[in-house]
Amino acid sequence: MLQANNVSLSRGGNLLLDCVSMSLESGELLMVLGPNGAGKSTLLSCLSGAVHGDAGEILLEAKPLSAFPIETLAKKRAVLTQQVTMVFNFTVEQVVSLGLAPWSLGVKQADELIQRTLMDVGLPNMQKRDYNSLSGGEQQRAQLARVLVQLLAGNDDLSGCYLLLDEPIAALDLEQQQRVLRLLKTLSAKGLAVLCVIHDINLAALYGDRLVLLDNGRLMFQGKPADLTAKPYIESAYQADLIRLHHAQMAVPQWQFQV
Amino acid sequence: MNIRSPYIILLGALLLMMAMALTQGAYSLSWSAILFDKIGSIDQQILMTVRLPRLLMAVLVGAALAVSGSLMQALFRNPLADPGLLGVSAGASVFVGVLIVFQPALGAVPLWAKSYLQSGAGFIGAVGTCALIFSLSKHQGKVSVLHLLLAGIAINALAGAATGLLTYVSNDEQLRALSFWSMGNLGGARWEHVIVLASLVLPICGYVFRQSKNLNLLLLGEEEARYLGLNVERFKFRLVAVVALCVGITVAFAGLIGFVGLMVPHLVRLLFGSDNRLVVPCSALLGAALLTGADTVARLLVIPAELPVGLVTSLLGGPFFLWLLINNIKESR
Amino acid sequence: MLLKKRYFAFLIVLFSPLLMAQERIISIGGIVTEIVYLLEGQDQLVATDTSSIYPDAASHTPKVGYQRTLSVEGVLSMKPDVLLITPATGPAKVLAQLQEAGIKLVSIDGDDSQQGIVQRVTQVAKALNKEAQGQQAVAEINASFSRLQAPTHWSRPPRLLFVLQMHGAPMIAGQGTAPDALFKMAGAVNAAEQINGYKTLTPEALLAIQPDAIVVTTQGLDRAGAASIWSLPGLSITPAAKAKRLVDLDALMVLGLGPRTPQAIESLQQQLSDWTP
Repeated sequence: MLQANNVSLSRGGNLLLDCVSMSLESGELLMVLGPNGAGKSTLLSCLSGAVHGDAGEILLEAKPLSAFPIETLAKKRAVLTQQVTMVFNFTVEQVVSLGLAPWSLGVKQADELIQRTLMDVGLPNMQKRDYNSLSGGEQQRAQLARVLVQLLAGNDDLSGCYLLLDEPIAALDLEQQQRVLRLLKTLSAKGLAVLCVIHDINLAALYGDRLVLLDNGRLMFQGKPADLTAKPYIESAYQADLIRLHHAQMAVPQWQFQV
Repeated sequence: MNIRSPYIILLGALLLMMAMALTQGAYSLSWSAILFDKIGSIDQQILMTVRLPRLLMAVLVGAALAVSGSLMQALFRNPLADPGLLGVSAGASVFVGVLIVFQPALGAVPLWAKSYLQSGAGFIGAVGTCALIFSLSKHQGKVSVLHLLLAGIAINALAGAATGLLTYVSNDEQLRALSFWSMGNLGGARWEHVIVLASLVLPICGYVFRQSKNLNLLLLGEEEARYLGLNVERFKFRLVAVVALCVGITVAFAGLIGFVGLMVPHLVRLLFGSDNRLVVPCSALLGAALLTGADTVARLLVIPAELPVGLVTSLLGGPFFLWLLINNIKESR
Repeated sequence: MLLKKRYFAFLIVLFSPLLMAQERIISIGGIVTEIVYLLEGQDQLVATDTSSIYPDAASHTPKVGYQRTLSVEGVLSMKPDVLLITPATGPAKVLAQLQEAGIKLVSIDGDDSQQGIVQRVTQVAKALNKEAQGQQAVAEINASFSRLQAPTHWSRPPRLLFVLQMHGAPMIAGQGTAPDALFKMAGAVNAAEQINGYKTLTPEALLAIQPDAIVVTTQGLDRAGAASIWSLPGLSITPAAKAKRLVDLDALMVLGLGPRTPQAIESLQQQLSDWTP
């Protein structure tokens, strides 16, 4: 379990996180929602240890995150930040293989894993393409393949592993959004703990096992999508005129714009 | 492409350059005299005291400069980064300049130390500048690459001004020494230099080759590299230290030799791709081959005089740099 | 009373060039300044350039900068009437501006020979209005030149190599340099005469030019030490190195020809007196 306990963080006089407590459990897909500037990425930075909160603590399996050597962390936790640029020309295969850094894998094994993972993220037969010649959405999926490979390479059992993703489907078309979210769902079903910062509230409610809603650095809601109907959490956080509906197949809320 | 073929190509190029450097020169060597005359013949002496140490120095200096260049480009994630960018070579040259101009005022120097003074000053200058840059670029306990770059620019500017000041106060003789030194020259190569260079450069190359995988991680960004298990702070510190050592030792023995550090890694990437596991060792080979070739050209072009090798590499490198820049602009459009 | 005073002042101004017949002179270039002192014209000297360091007193005069990079205001601030310059003095633009400002530029020039030295002394003497002293100095210089004699046992002229820079490949003096002229006057040969000007010599060429002795500046020798000269690559195979024959001359005397050139030649010949082919 990855936990934030009463984490607060301010930078330059602005309170970015205000006493946030939340948790990410093994085997769940947790969606982090919130308007622009709500503190979603900041929370992710805190959870991944890149940023230290002014107060509160981050616990990984009940131990402070900072107690883990980074080499150990790299083997059980992968993080995908919002935009990763490659200055030099790498092939897709080379980019993905960077995820193998914590492990020492044989060439053949590595090739197989990379090929399989690229297939999973919808980039089949792209190994030799130049990374910089890919579209934004393709680059995003190549990076996703990199962080997936990082965990898949050495862990037969994913239940002790954590995957933190910052807007992994932001640049994807509908087909690829569905592909990636289904893939995350499959992985979490195998025990992987997945945290995913996301903008689309409908997809979050549909695919997320649980949701975390942030607004202005504060935690507004944490729980199952179905529980979002109890109060107008979403409506008040987003300040948009929304109509709440129900998904045709699942007992989760969905939203539409009012005309 | 087969993973081994870049090495075979570059090793072939290096061997070719070495063979050229060994056989060509102002004095035409007689190989039969070298092989069959008794030990100590003129031809043997030329080979052993002039050509061979110089050839090895060119190989080592070229490799050190090119490897430093590839490290800098990975560290700054910028293909235009160059060992000179940190200001290390400029700092070293100021120290040597101060020595050239003010040595009479420094007082008596023991006789044995005199022939090492200039090299020593260059090295101390490089390491001192490096320490200064580090203390300037520590930002919230971390080495900030942006601050590193800014500190380098500031130190380069300061060192330029200091060198200008030195040329202003120096007399004709000192002025010649200053400008001569700043153009780079391998003519002073002695076995002692080769041994010192080799004992520093070879282990550094070994270390860097093993770390080239981590250089790739750095290309993703510092944060990403950390998530992949790389101790980024320690790694950056070691990289800069390695670059300072390489630049310091080469500046001390051979003066300022430009463009090898910029040009070679870039050429390697154009030829064989950007994977640092290939770029770093290939840069070492190509850098060695290039400087050996450039030095041979410098020795042969104006016999019995010779050109400063820094001039030859800059003449090659200047147009190349422009081409690089124009290409970069075109690509970003 | 007032009128009288003004009239008097006017007279002084009118005749001041005669009253203080001395012009204010700035001397540019070490050799020129040396000649000014030789002719005892230092009373007229208001400033020199940074290369003027002989005699010792010259280095304590006000300085207007380095001879090749003079500035208009720097020179004008000394209110000179005459500027003694050499062909090396510059930049040309500054010289033109100085001329426009009414300063008389006197070029002191001559080739690197006994005659050239004499020519320079004569030119300086004329500019200082000290023709008499000039003639005397010329006579002395000519006399000391005529006293010079190459050692009789030099059955062939020794091949000398002037090494200016001892770090890296040796920077040597070829044809058209002051050391080259000096060697010829001393009855020796410049071993590097196929090179023009100051150049770096490729170490292997040392073998071809076979210098009998290496000539360095005293200052350079002090700085680098004899050991670092003999350890220059390629030098060890030369006759000079085998006999460890090293001549050192004061940089001021060897890097430019002037009134002390006979002394330099004498010192050179003396230091090589035990040399035999």
